[in-house]
Amino acid sequence: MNRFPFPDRIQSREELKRDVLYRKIPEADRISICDMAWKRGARISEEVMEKYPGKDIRGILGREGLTVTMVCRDEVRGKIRTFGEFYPTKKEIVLYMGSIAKWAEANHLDETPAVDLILAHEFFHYLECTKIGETSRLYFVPVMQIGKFTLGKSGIRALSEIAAHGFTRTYFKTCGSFEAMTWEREERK
Amino acid sequence: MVTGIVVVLIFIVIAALMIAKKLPTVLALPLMAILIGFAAGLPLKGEEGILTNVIPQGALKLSGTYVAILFSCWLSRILYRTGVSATIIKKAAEFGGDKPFIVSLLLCAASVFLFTVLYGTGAVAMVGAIVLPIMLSVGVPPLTACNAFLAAMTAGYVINPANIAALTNITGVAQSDLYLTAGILTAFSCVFCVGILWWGFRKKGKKYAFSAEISNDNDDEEIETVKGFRGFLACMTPVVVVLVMLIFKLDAIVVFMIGILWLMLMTFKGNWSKYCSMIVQSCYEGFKEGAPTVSLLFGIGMLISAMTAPTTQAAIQPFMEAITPTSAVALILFVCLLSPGGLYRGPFNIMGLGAGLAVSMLAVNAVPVLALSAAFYAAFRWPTQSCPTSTQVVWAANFVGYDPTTAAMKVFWPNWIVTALSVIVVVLIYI
Repeated sequence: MNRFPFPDRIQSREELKRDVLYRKIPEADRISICDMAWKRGARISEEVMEKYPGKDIRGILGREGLTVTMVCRDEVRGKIRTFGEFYPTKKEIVLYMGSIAKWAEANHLDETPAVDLILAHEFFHYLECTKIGETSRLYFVPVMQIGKFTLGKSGIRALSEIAAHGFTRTYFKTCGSFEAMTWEREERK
Repeated sequence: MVTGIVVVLIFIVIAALMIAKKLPTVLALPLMAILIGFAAGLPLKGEEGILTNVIPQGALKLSGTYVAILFSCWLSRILYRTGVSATIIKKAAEFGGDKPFIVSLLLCAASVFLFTVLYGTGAVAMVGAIVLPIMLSVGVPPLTACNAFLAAMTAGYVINPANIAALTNITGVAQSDLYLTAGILTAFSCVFCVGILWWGFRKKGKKYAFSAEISNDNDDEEIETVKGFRGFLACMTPVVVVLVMLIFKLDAIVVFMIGILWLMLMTFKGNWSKYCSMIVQSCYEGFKEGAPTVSLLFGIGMLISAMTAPTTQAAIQPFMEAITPTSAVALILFVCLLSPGGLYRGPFNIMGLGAGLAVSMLAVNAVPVLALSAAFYAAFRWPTQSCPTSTQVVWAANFVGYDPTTAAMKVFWPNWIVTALSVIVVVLIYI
């Protein structure tokens, strides 16, 4: 796993490997469910752009009534670095600016577009919680399986993350900002 | 009476030096034993001599306990190296599915289960390094994850045969007499753990996070897991150990030895010499992890020897009689009010300075020995879970990115309430 992930469709499949239920997903399904999640994120981004033509992500968040809190620290807990969080009950996005600065540097981005990318990622989770339903609940695996007997079922949380990556990539690619970032990356090389 | 006051002053000065980090516990305990010996008028040589009894016999006094702890650390290491502990934790996480609260509950349940046999900071780090990242990844707030994990660890710890052996060796009560107390304290710790999780989820709610591991794939050591029916039986090792202890009422050392043999039978595969090498390596690593606790027990033994010497007892008896509670209510108030004194390795921690206080109070015989021992054990639950100087607390707090004092203080008042409730229950049972 990249320490500063900014995955495309193929790289986002790595998210699935981090899920605690990865072993329970049949091998034949793994790629297809990742693609399903990615496509869902991409489709939702197109719908958002249709709904808010010409609006940037900060404007959209404002329209949706989301609160953004910026915390000036590199948020590392144990082996995990967190860049942004979304709390559905409070409709709040928390950005860890120290972590984002490192993420931006690793992905050759300026801080402003980097923050926008994280905001878009978390905005997708907001949409999942309020409007479109969770992507993680679109595919289930049995919680317990002994032979043919199965008990309970569970969704795959990683699918929500893959869909959020799909949403973010597509959003910025379509509205042009992503090309600007790519161009900047080339320039710096 | 004067000697009693001098002994108390020695207690206070040494405790203050320890809290101020001027004197490590491992040095403070033997030093206190020697100073108390001098204050009480013990000779240098002879049956009660400081050089012939307090130091040499004291260092061996709790040998049954520290050998049990070393065996427990050995077992912990084998459980880790064979992938059994990782399997138990990962299965628990899988059963929780995509529900963060259920995942967290099951991870804590797995931790309780494991710590009924695991011992030492090494074991805490081994289990915590798997449990905490999963809890954080499903959205548990860091301090909630840290404190819930430590509460779960404590729930297992209080029923761990090694800890029961320590208390029985210090207080002299029969091991089987403490099972009920241990069970009650485990139940209290489990409820506390669930409470911490519930409160954490209620306050912060569900969370999504864009995050990544800070180490690259090739930095991570992949921990293998056990499979099949033998793997399942290997995962049952904690059950085997606890059942053997409860049914056959065997010594903790034997119980852990049986656990090691059981685990070897259930995990052996492939090359015998390679497997033996792993077992031997686990032994050395386990003993190394147990060394900090064992070194404390040398000092505790010396302190007990100094405090229980007839000359010391005769000298401090008037003072101890004056301060030792004689009724259930007085004992409850005494332990409840002073229980924070177990933090920072203070004089109320029975696995530290408190051992001297406990044995002196027991010698007065004002309340049933079992009631007093159970009350001290109930008070011991708090520093085990939340003492900022305890290495497991330091490790877990640092792992989630906080300092140990912040983590411990977050649950200071709830811990005091849980301690008070558990003290009330055990005292009322035994008086």
